[in-house]
Amino acid sequence: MKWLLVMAWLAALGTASAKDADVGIRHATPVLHWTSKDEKGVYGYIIYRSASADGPFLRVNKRIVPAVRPKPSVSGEAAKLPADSRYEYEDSSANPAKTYYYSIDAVSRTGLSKQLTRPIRREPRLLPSN
Amino acid sequence: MFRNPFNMNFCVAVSVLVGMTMGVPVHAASSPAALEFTAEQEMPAEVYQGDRERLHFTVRNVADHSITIDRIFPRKGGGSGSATPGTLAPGSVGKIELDLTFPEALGAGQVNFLVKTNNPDKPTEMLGVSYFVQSAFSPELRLFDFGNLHTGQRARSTLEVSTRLVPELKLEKVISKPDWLDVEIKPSASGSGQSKRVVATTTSLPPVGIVNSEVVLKSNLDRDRPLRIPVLLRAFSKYAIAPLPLSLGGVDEGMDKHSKLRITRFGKGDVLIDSVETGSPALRAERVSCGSGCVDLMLTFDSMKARGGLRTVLKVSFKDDTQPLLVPIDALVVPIGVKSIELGDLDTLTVRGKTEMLEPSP
Repeated sequence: MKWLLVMAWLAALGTASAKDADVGIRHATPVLHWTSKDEKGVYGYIIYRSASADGPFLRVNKRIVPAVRPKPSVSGEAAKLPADSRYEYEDSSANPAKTYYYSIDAVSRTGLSKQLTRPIRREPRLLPSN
Repeated sequence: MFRNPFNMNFCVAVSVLVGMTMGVPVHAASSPAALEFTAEQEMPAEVYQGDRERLHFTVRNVADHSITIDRIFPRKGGGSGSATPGTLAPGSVGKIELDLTFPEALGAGQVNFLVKTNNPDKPTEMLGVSYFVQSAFSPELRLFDFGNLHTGQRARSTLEVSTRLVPELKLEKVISKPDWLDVEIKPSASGSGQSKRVVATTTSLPPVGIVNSEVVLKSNLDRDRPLRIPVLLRAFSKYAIAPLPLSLGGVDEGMDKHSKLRITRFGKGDVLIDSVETGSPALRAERVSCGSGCVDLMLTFDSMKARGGLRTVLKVSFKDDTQPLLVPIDALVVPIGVKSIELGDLDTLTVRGKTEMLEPSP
C-alpha cells in the first residue's frame, strides 16, 4: 500500500448559498478545499467536523469523496495521475452561523484510513447584503 | 478484517492462464447478454464490516423472446437474490433484490451473482456487485497478542479503540470471548468519550499450541455494529519455540532454503530434546546450542524433494516433558520460468494491544 499523498493545502471557505432567515443575516455555507499529490492506492476521503477543537469529531460525508482515478491507458503504458488533484466539499449539513473544526482522513483501497490534517477552524462568514 | 496474526511472508506465483472460467460454466463471450442490470443505489456499495444489506437493481430483457429467471445466487459466499416478476417479456423491465452480508475483510471488492434463466442462448447471466468495506472503529486492524505464555503464566493486554460515528462510544457487553480470558471496558486515558480502553487478562492457560480466538463486544453504534478484536497467543508448557508457525515463502525450483527455529526453556535447566521429526523428507533439521536453556534447529528445505511445495508439521519431543512442540511449516516451490512476487509482511499494519506479563514472571 502506498501512502504518498501530500496535502498541498486545505482551506475552509464559504459560498453564497445559505442564510439565517430568522435573524435576517446571511452566512456562507462552509466549503472545504484541498489538494493532493500522488494518490496511488487512495480510495477517497472522509471529512470530520466538531464544534470544538478537542472534539468529538463526527463523520460528515456518508459516502466517501472518491479520489481522482488515473485515466485508463490506451497504448498499454502505465496509467498516469494528474499532477495535482483538487477537491471541494460543501458541508450543507452544517449550521453556517456556527464555528466548526474540520479534519480529513484519506482512505486507502485496502480500507485503512490516515488523518491528513490537524483540525482547521472555520469561522462563520457573513455574505454581502444585496 | 485481516485475519493473519502471524508473521508470515506471503508469496504469489504469477502465471497467465488463458481461457479459465474459474470452475463455473459460462457461455462464450460472444453470446450477447439478454438481460441488462442497472443499480438503483450508488455503487460501489459503501458498507461497514459484517453489514447485511438489501440491494436493488432493475433488469431489462433485451432479447427478442421472453425470459424466465429461475434462480439468483452468489458465485461464492453467502447471500440470496430474487426477481419480480419472474418472467420478462421482450423489452420489459423487472426488479431484482439481492440480500447479502458483506465480509469482514476491509477495502474494495466484488461479489458476482449468477442469474440462471431459461434462455437457451445464455442460461447464466452475471450480476456484479462492487463494494467497499470500512471499519467503524479505529484502529482498523487490531489484535490482542499475548505472545508466548507458559503454564501458570498470566498476561494482560490493553487496547484503545475509538469511533467517529457517534459522540460517545459505549461498549455495553461482551457478546463472546474465550473462557480463559477476562474482558473489562474502561474509560479512555485521553478522556475522550469516543474512545474506550479494552483490557483483556488471561485467567488460565488454553491448550498448548497456537491459539486464535476473538473478543466480540456489543456497541452503541447504528445497527449495534459489534467491535471484534482477534486474540492470539502461543501456549507452551515447559518449552517455547519460535517462530510459530514458520513460512519459508517462495523457493525457486532446484534451490535449497535455510531457516532457523529457536527452542527455549522456561526457567533454569538444559533443553532436553528426545527427538525431532520434520514430517517430510524434503526438510532436514540439525541441533545447535545457543547457550543455556536454548537450542537452535537449523532447517534446510530441499525443493527437489518437494516439487509442489511443503506443508508439514515439525514435531519436537522432550525427555522431561510429555508435551511435544508442533510447528506448522510451509513453502511454495516456484517452477523455473514463473515470475514470483514477495508480497511481504501483511502483519505490520496491525495495531496490537499493549501487553504486560503478570505473575509469575517469565
